[in-house]
Amino acid sequence: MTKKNWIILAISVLVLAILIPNIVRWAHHGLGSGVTLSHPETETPADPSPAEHRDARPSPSATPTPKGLSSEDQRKLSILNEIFASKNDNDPRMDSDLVNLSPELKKAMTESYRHLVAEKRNERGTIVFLIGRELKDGADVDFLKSVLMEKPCLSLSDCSKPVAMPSEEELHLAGMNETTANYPQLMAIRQMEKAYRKWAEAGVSNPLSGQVIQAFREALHSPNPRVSDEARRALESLGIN
Amino acid sequence: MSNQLSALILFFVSFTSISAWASDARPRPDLRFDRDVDASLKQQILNDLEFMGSLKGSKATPLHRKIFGKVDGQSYLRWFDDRVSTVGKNLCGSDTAVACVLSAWPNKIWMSPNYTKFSQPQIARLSVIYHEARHTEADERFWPHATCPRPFLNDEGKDVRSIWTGALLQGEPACDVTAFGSYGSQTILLKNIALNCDNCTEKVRADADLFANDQLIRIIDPSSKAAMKKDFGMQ
Repeated sequence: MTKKNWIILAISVLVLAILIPNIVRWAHHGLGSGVTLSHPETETPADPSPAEHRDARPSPSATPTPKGLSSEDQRKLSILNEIFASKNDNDPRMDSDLVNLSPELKKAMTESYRHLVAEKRNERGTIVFLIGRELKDGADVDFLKSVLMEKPCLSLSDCSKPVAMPSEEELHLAGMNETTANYPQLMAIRQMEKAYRKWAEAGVSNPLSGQVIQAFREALHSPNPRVSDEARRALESLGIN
Repeated sequence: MSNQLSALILFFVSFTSISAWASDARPRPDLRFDRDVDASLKQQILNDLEFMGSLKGSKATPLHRKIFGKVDGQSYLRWFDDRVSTVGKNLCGSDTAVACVLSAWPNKIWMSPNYTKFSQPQIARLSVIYHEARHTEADERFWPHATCPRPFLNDEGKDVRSIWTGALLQGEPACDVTAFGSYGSQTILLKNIALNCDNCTEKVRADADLFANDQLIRIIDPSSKAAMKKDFGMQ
């Protein structure tokens, strides 16, 4: 090889050496917005637990795209799925794009909620948060009320199975786990309470106000003590007997 | 021959320097992970710390300034780096634990696979890391928890108990007297993110508020609790 060829070879290697680590890094960390390109849950865990095997049900965090949605609604649903996959609650699109939800999109999101496995507490709570942020008709309140009447989630690894006798370590941060287990319900109460307060402060007589209060009253009889306690607190806070 | 040798030297020098640069450029270059920490767990921790490092706020409460400084991502990362240098993997003696510290290993937090397995709001799981980081402070005897009083009642006068198991928390080491321990600092962190984070989404702020209110109940000294409520503008 000539000297010129060696120089070309060296430059090529140099360029590759710059590109390869960056490509690997971009693939791991996403492209600057906190959105990961790879879905962590699709990676093979080193030591999968039985619950993880059980989670191998159809697409636990993917929201199906129903037919008949406008392209704008489909775009928003795709964004929601991307946020779920990234586990990045601070994705700014949550506030910039996932607003002004159409009734059709809300309906699709409530269907997605039902499709998600019960253990997907954050995903379920996110849907409740988004719909609850824009309470506009009776169907929205009905959805939140149905969330309040769900069976309690007994453990984050398997909502149907209660935690055994608590160890000291479990008591240590049990409050965090229990709040997470009730996250969709607590978010539903908070969003309805916030909406009610907003209508009252604006002096607006909103026909949904009565429906919200009715939802709280029914939640007082929830088999989940956390939900009934929180509904009672909300009613007291709103000055409703 | 000498040309070939020069080219090879050029290649190796370039490669090693670029590799070193790439290594330093990754998030949290000083944070070490034990070999048995799964790639997905490591990635989730790094992503979450990256999120924490991005937070910005123009205000902070006095208690927050005492513990963490400003509501600012770089302050939060420095605070964390000053306490934690290594992450290990451990079940933490429980099926439901997410993280823990073991006093025999200073400056190290142990993460359970539950950190990625459980579907928790992001700010909640991050606050657990900061709670555990507070427990690494040997100078403060690792901020041990206080025994919850008998009876241990909430603001409504009801027994505080585990909703899952029904177990009463009274008599258990699951409370704090001071506002500066792990529960207190975690609550102060969450409340400030709820109140003062300028670049957080509405969901992150709502979540931070929800989880902060739940942790506040663990502060059992009336004057500490009152000081915290005043700090948060709740009184």
